[in-house]
Amino acid sequence: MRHRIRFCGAVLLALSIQWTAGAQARVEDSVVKIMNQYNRFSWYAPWESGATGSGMGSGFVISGKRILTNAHVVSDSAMLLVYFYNDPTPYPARVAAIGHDCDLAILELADPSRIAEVPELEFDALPPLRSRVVTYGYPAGGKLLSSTAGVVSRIEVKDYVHSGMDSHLTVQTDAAINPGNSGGPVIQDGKVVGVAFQGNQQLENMGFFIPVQVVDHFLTDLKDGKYDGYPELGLFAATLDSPAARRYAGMKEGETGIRVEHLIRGCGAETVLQKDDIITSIGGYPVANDGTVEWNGMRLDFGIVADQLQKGETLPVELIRAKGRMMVEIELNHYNPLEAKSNLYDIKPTYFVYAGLVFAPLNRETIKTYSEKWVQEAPQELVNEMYFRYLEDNDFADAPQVMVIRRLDHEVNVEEMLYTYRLLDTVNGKTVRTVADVVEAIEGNTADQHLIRLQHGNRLMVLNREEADAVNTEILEKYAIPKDRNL
Amino acid sequence: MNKLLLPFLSLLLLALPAGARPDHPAEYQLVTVRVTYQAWNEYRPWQKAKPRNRTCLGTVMPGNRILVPAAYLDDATLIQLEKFDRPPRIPARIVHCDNQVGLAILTTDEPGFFDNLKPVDLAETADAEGEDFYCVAWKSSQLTFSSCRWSQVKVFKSSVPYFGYAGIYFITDLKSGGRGEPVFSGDRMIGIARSQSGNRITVIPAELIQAYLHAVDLPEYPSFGRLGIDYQYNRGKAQAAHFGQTGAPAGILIRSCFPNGSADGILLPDDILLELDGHAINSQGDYLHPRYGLMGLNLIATDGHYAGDVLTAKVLRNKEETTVEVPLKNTQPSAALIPAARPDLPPPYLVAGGFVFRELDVPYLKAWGKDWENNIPPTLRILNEMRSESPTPEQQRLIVLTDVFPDDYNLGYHEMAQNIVKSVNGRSIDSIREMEEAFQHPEDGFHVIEFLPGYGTSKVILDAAPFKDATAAIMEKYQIPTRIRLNP
Repeated sequence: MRHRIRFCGAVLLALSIQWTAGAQARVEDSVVKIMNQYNRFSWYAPWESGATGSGMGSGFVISGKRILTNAHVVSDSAMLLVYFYNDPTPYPARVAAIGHDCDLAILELADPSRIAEVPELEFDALPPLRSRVVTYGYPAGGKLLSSTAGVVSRIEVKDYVHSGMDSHLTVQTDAAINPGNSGGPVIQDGKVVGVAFQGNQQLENMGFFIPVQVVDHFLTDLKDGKYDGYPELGLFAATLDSPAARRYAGMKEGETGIRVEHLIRGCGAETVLQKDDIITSIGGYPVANDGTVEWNGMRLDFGIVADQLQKGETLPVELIRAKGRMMVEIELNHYNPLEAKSNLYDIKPTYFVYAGLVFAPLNRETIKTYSEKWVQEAPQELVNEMYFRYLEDNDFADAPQVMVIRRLDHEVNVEEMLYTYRLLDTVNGKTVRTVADVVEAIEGNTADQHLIRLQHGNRLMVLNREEADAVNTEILEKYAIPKDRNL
Repeated sequence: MNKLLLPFLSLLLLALPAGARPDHPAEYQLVTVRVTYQAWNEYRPWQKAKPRNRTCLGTVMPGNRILVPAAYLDDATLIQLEKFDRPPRIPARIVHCDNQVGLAILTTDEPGFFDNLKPVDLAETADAEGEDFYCVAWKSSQLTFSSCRWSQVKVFKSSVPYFGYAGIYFITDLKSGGRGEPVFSGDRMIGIARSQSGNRITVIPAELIQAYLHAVDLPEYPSFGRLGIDYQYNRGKAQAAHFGQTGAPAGILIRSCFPNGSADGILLPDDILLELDGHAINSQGDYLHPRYGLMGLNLIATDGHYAGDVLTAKVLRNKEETTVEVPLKNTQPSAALIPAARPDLPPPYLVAGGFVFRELDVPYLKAWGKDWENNIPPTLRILNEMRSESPTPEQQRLIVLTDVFPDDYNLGYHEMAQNIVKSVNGRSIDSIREMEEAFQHPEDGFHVIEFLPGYGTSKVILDAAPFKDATAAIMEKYQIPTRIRLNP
């Protein structure tokens, strides 16, 4: 089994959350409805205004008179309105912080006076299995608060669908969690044990909430005023259930662990670990041959240990290397290329239009413009570059890539061989990996032609420079493109 | 070149009840071919899938030979012939089969079988016989005539990418055809149908059949050539100017040549191929065929040529025209890193410690079903799209782990599958034969199998001492009769 990327963080819960003391208030007074008037820009026509609409979700008031909700409730927001319990007045709000990797966000009211008297909900710990919980929220856009009860049925590390690239601790419950519940509190004994956030259409009457450990990681990260996100361990390991593999690795009888198979370049583990190291414990937790550690009475994937730490913190690792025993410390850092592999929000797309060619960065949003089934149908060089090479190729340094995603037909380009959704290598002899590189290579060219070479298949694109320059403005006007670039 | 239908004769033919023309020569030129076939089980390469039957039509050719579409003979275990679509069924044998052009010849050793059959009169070219086309089939022991309207000629791919040969689309009222039905103009056959989609059949034209029959009669079958180039259009003036062309763009831009193929080392990347075998190549890779109009240039290698022929090519290289000679070579599917076909050969495999390894080819990938290109695991899809045509001297073939038969011996690896082998005991691997050899040389008491990164672990460790016995025990437990099959 391989261990996928983990985004770690968090100091222990009790140390980081500011608990609100005081008399028990009614939970419903603290639960809000959130209306998000969103504007989502198009990565296919990035100069356009984008798609507008509205979505509903829930949230609740926590310490500091902040409103906690899901990132997906408030993503791409152009206007946010908050409704308090039994109060028909909409209160404008803004996103104060957002963590797409953990699907959490903090809102602040434009006028904080309304929230001053709203009770702040307190957090509790991870609820025990089979214990009873109640979800609060405004499912299906209803005006009145809804609450549903259920039990905690499973606690495990699961994918967070909002980013499409992250997985963290998740609690499964049979309390109904429907659209609109998102961001609402999950309550046990009057305290918050999680934030409702996603369902699973393949499971009946099953919903999932974000446990306090992840919430705490988010709030702790924010203490310095900005959200850094979960750091990346950058480690792939193989289980060692095979007795032969353990003997081959020089492990003694009774020793357990996992074998390092791949280290992602640029992550903390790469600097201190080596391929074929045997990790026997991580963060003080002994690692079993199946890659699990005993954590809070449960056996979870070893990545849960790193998931509790913040960027810049260190993780002690005991290991066997060349049959000798040693300890190293991994300093955790953020893996910047991961952002491009995730669903992107709150971003005005980067682009450059020249001679009818639309240059765009390779990221999950641009590759999604290829087709709904982009994983299967898009040129596999893109899928490979985005999602496999950094996990497979030890020498691969993950870096931005740029491509042409559209041709706006014009006489100057329509007869030329132009390849879309293919990785560019050079423009006019200069290596290009970003849209800005392309702009520089195009605008700095004085030769008769623009030569664009692609990375695969020895493909070549050529444009007549003088003709292209001459018609560039005409093409922009013809296709109603107000700006030729957003860098 | 499109031809118009003269519908009246066809309508007249249709108006006749089936079997109302017992005097038509086709009655003595067309036999039913019943094939029992059994494909290999791609997951369990030591065994075969359920036997099945299919039927096609064979056309009697001079010399007691019967012409059939080659695809109907794939994996055949029994071939039988019926005259007049009625028993008795007579055993037949394959005289020759060329899967690349999709044609095969059968005969039978049954005395007197051909006595009351007559060879078909095969036209020299498909287009030379007027326009009253129809095809003939046996159905329920009666001859059935269906009108055909010439629609279009296209260059089709074969089991080898870039191998081009002509096929003619006919629009027809034939149902469930494309099984070798001869297409006639008057009393002369102008082709045989090789497939049908809706009301359209694809017909292998007479000239290719003539060339095939001629080749079969040569002392050594020469096979047909494949140019083996990857190219891009040269339509744009800017691209053409970059390569030194003035005026209207012409020719195509060579991007690469298939390793060891006809053009390898002769046509070079960034050459503009202007002419081939005396045909001017236009900027979209077409040339003017004397009978069919604009055709893709890959057809030049098979139209009137065999492997061994030399084609003269005019290219623009470094902005200067030059002439080079391209000796045509035949390229078997097995030349590719991931072969597109494995005609009539079983998959080479090895069972080692309960791990099943086999050579990766497209027939294996097709085991994922009709939508296999979308359904195969992503790492295999990436390999198939990006590297299928790219063997290197070091990597002629990929070996894939298909399955692990669970046992104490291979504990820890039971969930592994679809991994590509990189090395065994430190030796790089590109054939089952090399794997077998590598397992003779364990490392310090262990067998170490390394895989390209993908699914599951990329390194498997097995105890070497019990390896042989464990393999035998696992084979016994799971009824695996044979440990290894090598390439012929």
